[in-house]
Amino acid sequence: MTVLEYMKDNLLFLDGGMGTLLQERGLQPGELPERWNVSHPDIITDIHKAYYDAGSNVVSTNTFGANCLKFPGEELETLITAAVKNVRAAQEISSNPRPKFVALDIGPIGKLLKPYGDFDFEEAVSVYAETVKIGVKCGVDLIFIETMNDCYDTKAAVLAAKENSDLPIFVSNAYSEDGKLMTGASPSAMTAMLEGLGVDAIGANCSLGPAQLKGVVDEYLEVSSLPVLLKPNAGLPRTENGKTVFDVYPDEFSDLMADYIRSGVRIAGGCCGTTPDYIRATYEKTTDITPVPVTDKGRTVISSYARTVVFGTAPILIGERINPTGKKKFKEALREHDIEHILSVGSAQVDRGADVLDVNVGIPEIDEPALLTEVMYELQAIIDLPLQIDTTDPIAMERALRRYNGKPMINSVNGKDEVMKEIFPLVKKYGGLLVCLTLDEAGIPDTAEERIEIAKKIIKRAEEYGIPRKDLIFDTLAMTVSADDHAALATLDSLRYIRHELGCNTSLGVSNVSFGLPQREIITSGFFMMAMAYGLSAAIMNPSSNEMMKAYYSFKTLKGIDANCTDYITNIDKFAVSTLTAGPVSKEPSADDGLSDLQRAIVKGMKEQAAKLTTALLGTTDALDIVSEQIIPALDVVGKGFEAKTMYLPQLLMAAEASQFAFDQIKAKMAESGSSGPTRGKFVIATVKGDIHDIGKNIVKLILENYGFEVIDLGRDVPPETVLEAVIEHHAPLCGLSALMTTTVPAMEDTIKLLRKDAPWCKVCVGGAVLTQEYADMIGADFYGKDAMATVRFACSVSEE
Amino acid sequence: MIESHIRVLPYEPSALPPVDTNEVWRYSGCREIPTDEAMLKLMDEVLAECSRSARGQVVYGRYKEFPFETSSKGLSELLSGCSEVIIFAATVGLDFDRLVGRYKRVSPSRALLIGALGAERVEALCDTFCSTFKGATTRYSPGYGDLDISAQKEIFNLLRVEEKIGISLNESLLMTPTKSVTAIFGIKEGAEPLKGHDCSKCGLKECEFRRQS
Repeated sequence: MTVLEYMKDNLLFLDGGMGTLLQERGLQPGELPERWNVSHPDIITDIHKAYYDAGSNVVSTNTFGANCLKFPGEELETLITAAVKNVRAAQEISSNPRPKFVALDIGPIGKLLKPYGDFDFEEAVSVYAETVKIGVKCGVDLIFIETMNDCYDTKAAVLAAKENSDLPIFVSNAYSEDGKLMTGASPSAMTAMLEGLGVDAIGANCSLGPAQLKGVVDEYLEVSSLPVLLKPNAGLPRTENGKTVFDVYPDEFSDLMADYIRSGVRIAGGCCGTTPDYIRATYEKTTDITPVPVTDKGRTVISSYARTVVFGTAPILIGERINPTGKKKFKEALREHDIEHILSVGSAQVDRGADVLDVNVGIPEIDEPALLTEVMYELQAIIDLPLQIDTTDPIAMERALRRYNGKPMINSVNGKDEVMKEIFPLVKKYGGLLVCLTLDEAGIPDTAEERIEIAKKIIKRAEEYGIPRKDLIFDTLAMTVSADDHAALATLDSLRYIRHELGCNTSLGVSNVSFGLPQREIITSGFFMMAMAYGLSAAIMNPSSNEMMKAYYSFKTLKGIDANCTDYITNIDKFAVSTLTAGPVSKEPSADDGLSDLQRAIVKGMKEQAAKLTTALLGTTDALDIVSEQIIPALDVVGKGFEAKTMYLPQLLMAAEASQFAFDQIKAKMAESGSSGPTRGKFVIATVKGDIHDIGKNIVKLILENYGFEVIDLGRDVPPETVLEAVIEHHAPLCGLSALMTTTVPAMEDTIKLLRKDAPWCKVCVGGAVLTQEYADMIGADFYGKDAMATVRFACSVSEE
Repeated sequence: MIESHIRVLPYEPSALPPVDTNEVWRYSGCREIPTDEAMLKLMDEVLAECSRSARGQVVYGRYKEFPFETSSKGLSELLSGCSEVIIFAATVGLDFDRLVGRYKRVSPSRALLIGALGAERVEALCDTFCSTFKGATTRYSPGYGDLDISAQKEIFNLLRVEEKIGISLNESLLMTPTKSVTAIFGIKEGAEPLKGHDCSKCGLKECEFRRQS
């Protein structure tokens, strides 16, 4: 009988703590417990046996830290082999007559993954894979991935397990007191991702006692369609006479566990501080309880490492702006690998209230698999919303699905046999909510009936791959109403049927409907409102459209899903005005400071005011005159104040941001007339290799841009060769390097040497917390910029030469 | 897994003292506290959004003898006559890095203040932690005074910081989350409780953030 068969009708009991028991038997601080599998097999077997005797069905190998980072070379295989043998030996001699299984225990490798740490995701997968392969060879019955405190690391371990075995996989995470993992995931976020990855049981262990885990357990039981496991500590540790003791004893522990089992927990054990006594007490108190059946919760859900988005109640807003279609500037950003621009498009949509961001970077001349993965990864570093991976290239899709942190939305599959054959296996392996377009080999059907038929076909085929209908979301394709009077109706009728008769969620790219019509926003938002009334679960839309946001908030209120109209009242004001520059300029009391109104707005860092005043001025004044007579003098006031220490860095930045608002108005005006502004020249900027601090570099960049430089920003942790390549490619006369720590100054010196050799025309300035004039001279820089203004002054002096 | 000499302490946002906005201004480069409306509004917004983002964690060990080799004279001066040495690593978590990462693109001034708030929070966490020990001396960190930055590695190995509280150390010995601190202090009978960081022993005389008093 396999463990999964046994679990169907029975509670499953796991083992308890190992570390504390080993310390009692003489394990020294700093000694690695895994080595005891070989040096003290009798003691390890004895502890395993005690757990089987106490009622455990599953005992985990003593391999928590057994990975090739800690045990390089052949020792790893020796330890794991011995560990499995020790459990098997315990099975032989245990008096427990019920089925007994051995789990390969896998703990976190203890490395923080990129983008926050510096360990690569794929490296982590291969470290876990080594442990899994050895465990499989030794004949374990299941894989137990436990005490994971990061969502991404958990995914790496699960992929390693799936790719190297067919064994059941149990996954248990370690939550902090706030009910979240160290990197922010809640139980529902973990459930979404792990159900998508197709593991067999999920839950929580370690960190806290059973009582403190109540919130976590309740959340699991509410959302999980998989059996829930629980393996708490024996309360919280404290020191007594130099020994570690825990404050929850077997009687209290087992009472709490029995309550959890009655509410639905199916797999129970203990972690730090628990002993065979805890397991025995739990077993004895619960063996008569009829296990609560595990039911499909039917949730349509996606997640990031921090958030879940549930479909089916309030409509979900999917921001459509990260997409090159019809956007000249965005295409250019993709071609020039301007990740910053893409990220700012993402960030702006978050601020407007998007729930999910669509990510599409498909243009012909780029390496889409590489760029899609990079953009998605960079977005996840700064935005915690779930993403929708949008590509027609299956290779790009697989790579992005693999690296995505959470359970994504996937855009898309359709009724074509060939496409289904390609996409379904990817969804099955990595998990995701799949957008299904109701079209097939014959194209997009004109009628609702035919679209519904395609939907039924897709549902059936997905089932054959083991993909449940809750993981499908149907897009009945909004067509241009100006080309066919009945286009919108066919879309809406099929949508209503699929939502209400087939019980699937629905999504639409609503903007298509208005092609070719004047005042598109009006008809698009009207269609959006109608679609929501027909049962639309999600819309791919433009969150910066006030008309769309108005429709959204109105619908929620009218539909009765906005209690006391709270959302409407709180949010609607910001969408009621149509553009930033509309509305009267608020009258500031004029001060006797010799500044014009616009200059004062910039100096005081008032962004909206600066934008409005600039727009007003543009009616009467030449754009370039505004720059030279208003903006630059205002920036100079701030710059001089900063140098004289009467103004400080935050004020310098606020003023720079306000002037950017003014520049944006000017650029828009100039774009209308087809001219572009003058530039003072190119400036390549980077934080050097090994250094991850870039706030100082970003400040310098912002001020330089204000003064008219075209800044090529290479980001942080940039190798010398990359700096050189950029300087040569742009034939940049100026390069700025930033370093924060003494340990990264040598990388700065290497970069300067390389530039001197192969780009001798380029003037190099350096800056950063630890640099001094002496240091700068020593490493051969042309200039030491003690702050952003000093660097700007230097750059201006070079560009004037 | 439990190592008998290593302890982990969680600190919920509410367990930390209230935000000292003067310190946040100082960390963001202001020698005087700004009075203009736009700046004060920005600070209010940052506090509303992030003052509860600090999820503190501390891992520490207590030692009768200093557990690794160092040639730092300043440190041995600090620890002379101490009955015990405490070594710790503290972090307020990744939220600050995420928020800074996000705002540095759309609003660098906001990013600057959020970063400064993170610095203030992690120092407040260190103060809160240290103040639980009676007779604690001031604290000394790798890279401060004459204690070489390479002491980071020793502390990380000793306390297993990476697996205990999830701070990672890169090749250049920078920590992530960036709002993290490693430090050493001693327990000495009658030691004056010292608040915050002592700038007087530091060689960086031109430091923007040097305390004047």
